[in-house]
Amino acid sequence: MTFRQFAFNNVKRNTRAYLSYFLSCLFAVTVFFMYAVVVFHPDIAHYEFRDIVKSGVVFSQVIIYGFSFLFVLYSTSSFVKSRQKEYGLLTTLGISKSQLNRMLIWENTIIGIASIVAGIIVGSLFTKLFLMVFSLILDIDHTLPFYISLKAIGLTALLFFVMFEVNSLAVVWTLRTKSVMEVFRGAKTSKKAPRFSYILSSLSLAAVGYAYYLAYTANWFNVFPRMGLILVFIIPGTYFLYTQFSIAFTNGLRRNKHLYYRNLNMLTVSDLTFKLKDNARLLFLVTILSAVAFTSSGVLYGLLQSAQTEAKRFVPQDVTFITEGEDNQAAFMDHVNKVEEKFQKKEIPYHSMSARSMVVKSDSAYSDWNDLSIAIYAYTDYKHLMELNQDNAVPKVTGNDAYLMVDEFAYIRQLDPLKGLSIRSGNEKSDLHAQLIGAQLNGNIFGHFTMIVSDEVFDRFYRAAENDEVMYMHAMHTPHWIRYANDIADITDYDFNENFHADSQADFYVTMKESMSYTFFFGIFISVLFFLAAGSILYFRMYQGIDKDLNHFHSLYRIGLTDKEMKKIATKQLGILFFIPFLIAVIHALFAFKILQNMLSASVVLPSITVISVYFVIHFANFIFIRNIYTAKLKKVM
Amino acid sequence: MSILVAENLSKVYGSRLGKRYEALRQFNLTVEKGEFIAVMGPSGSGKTTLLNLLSSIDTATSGKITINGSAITSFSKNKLAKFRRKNMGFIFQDYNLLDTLTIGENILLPLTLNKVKVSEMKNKLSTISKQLGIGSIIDKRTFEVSGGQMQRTAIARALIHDPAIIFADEPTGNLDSKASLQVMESLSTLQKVSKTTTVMVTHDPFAASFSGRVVFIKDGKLFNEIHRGDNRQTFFQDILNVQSLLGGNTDDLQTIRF
Ligand SMILES: Nc1ncnc2c1ncn2[C@@H]1O[C@H](COP(=O)(O)OP(=O)(O)OP(=O)(O)O)[C@@H](O)[C@H]1O
Ligand SMILES: [Mg+2]
Repeated sequence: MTFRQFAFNNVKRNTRAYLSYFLSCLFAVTVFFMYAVVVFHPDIAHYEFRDIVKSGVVFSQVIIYGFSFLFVLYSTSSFVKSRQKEYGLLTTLGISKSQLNRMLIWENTIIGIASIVAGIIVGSLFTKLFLMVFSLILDIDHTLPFYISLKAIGLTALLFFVMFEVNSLAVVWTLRTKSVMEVFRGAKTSKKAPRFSYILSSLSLAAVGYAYYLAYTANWFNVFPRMGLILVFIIPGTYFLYTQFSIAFTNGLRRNKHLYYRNLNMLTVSDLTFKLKDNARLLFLVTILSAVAFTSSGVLYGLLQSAQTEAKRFVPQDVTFITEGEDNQAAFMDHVNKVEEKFQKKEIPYHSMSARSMVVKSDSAYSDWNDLSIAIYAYTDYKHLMELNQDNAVPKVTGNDAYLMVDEFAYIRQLDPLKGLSIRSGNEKSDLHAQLIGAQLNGNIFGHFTMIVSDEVFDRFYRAAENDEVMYMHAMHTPHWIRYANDIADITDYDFNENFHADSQADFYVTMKESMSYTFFFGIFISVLFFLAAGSILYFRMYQGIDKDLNHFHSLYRIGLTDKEMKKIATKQLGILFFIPFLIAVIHALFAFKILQNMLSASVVLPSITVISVYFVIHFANFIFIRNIYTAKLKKVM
Repeated sequence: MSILVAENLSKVYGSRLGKRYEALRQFNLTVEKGEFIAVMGPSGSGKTTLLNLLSSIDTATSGKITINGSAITSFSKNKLAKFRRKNMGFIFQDYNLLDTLTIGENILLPLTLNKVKVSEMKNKLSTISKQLGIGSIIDKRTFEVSGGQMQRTAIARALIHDPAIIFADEPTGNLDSKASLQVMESLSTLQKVSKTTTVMVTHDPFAASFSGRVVFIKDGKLFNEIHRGDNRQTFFQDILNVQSLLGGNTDDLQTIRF
């Protein structure tokens, strides 16, 4: 048998190890290539959003490459590790170090080239689908034609070839540091009883707990400094959760003999202890990847879904126009009529009304509240506006009672001085007894704050008002505006100038959606990628470890374990390895959603449940798939 | 009273097209309660095959096996596994210990599967580990102890649940002479005390000389059978004689010790 025949047979009989390695490389190449196709797509290059989209895609591309690098490095080293015994054997049989290195590099190069070629082919197949989704999300009218530029192929091939070579050199380099004896022992050395430290275990719990506390109590004003702090606690906390606490936990289980010695528990727990320890770093990685995926897609999806609620929060009335000064009244009414005509033309249903308002000045002993411009409305007008918008009005005010509208951001100002607040205009002056309510009318550029005063007070001020203190407000209620959001946004955007101030929920909504959808697209893409990577890491790990496990199960079979019991043990262990990282990642993500919830008025409960459910379904399918492969293999031991 | 009866046992390997190999042909064997028998024969003669069939780890192509009155050849795989863990003990050449468990836990394994009270488990463990001289290592792990100690652990595991019958395949195959002596002495002493029926496959005439009867097989068929008298040394000599008669033992390298 020649050396080449030997190498060939080697590959043939080691199919599983090679195949799983090949598949993980293929996965990385495919994803990268699909992105590269978009970057170099000629239609994308001419699209008006070119810059923003392209920088987003390029950024994702860099992340994918960096990530692929780690992923392939991990795959290569676990591939080599799984075959160390073979290398040890070859070394003892007299293969020289340089021959072995050459063999390794050759193998890696061949697998690398094969996966580049296969990845580009598979990627091309998926590209059509990818371009369709891409066009849909970016609202490009027609689907981008299927086009694969040579540049995309070249870039992918070049970058990945470099990656594979660097990886195999790195692996060869690390292999060199091992003695023949070490190589020979290979993966068999890790059977010492797993150790843990009580201090690190409790510290890991404390760190995770503290990070959760920080997240739970975060708000608009402290969230940014806290974000870094949370990461500083959560990442090492999670790491030690796996390397220390998990071992401490299973050791605790072992100590309870009544539980431990019952049925299959001893076998399950003891084997699990080793599996947890052997895979701690991997599980940590999977947890962090999944947590990032859940959090970012949940947050993005939550924001996207919240656009309507946030629009209502920042723009309480559907559509409003406002102007200041008696001189502008005629032009204003003209403008309003034109707008309503346009609504009619587009067949957008609406109700509308006009309301009086005026600007006054505030008087207060506190500089924060002194000399501010305040827009005042009569209670009756306010009530009509609320009825128009189908919102609930606050109870009627009489005399010097009034309401001051503040949104939650205004709470930064001190509110106590409000008690001594009075308003003035020309010769009129009134000491008010103001109560705070949330924003119910659209704010405007003419006044810092909006107040509702009693009809008597308003009339008194309005009669004495100067020409330029008077304001005209026209409000429209547009039921089902979401349906016409784009049209309404277009109409209200039109002809804006400093005298006419237009505000609409539709406009806010459309702007927020638009800016979110790019972020959403790239974010979700990368998140899904992270999640898939996490899943495939688990998958490849199981795939590679299966032989060792089969030996273990064969031993059990001989002693008299039934088929069902072996399946039970295997399912339990696989389940734990699969769902513990998932569960921890979900909990991490839930606290991240809590941060988001603290800052949004829209509920993120539904979006986050949706996102996590979708991930769960995928993860569960993956689990069932791997479990079935695994238990099918179990039959072989009998 | 016979505890194990095998009738017309045959095993054909590779029954699919291509090579068929009949490793065992129409083999008959009866083992009495409390008996300690050794199965010997040249390499490839079908010893392991026989033991795997008797112990239900593998299924026979044809023939019938009765253990303790149950015809195990008609059992389902599931029922067999449960029968095995309750009524049989195993000792293998490669020890078959689980390296995720401590020595003590390995010994207790059959008891945990058979749902025994924890206090009873502890008692049994300390008794048997003392008898086998491994009381001091029950908290160690498999990689921390010697081959002889591992095999004595396997013996403890095979005996702890008072099985009806013990199967041992080359229990001394991986051990040096000193460890072999210790293992065989422990096994035969415990066997005598507990009167557990034992079937042992071995290459080693020295190990076989501890048994009460040696069954020789050749090419999957019974070749000869000799009984032990009062003296182990003469029995050992008899075994050697039959082995040379067998002829096919050129590949069996033996070491003679006394
Ligand atoms: N799974 C198998 N498939 C095909 N043939 C087998 C299988 N197992 C054993 N054989 C063949 O059956 C014959 C008997 O094998 P067996 O393992 O029983 O021999 P043995 O007496 O235990 O030998 P040794 O003393 O070397 O352990 C041998 O010729 C062997 O090649
Ligand atoms: Mg054999």
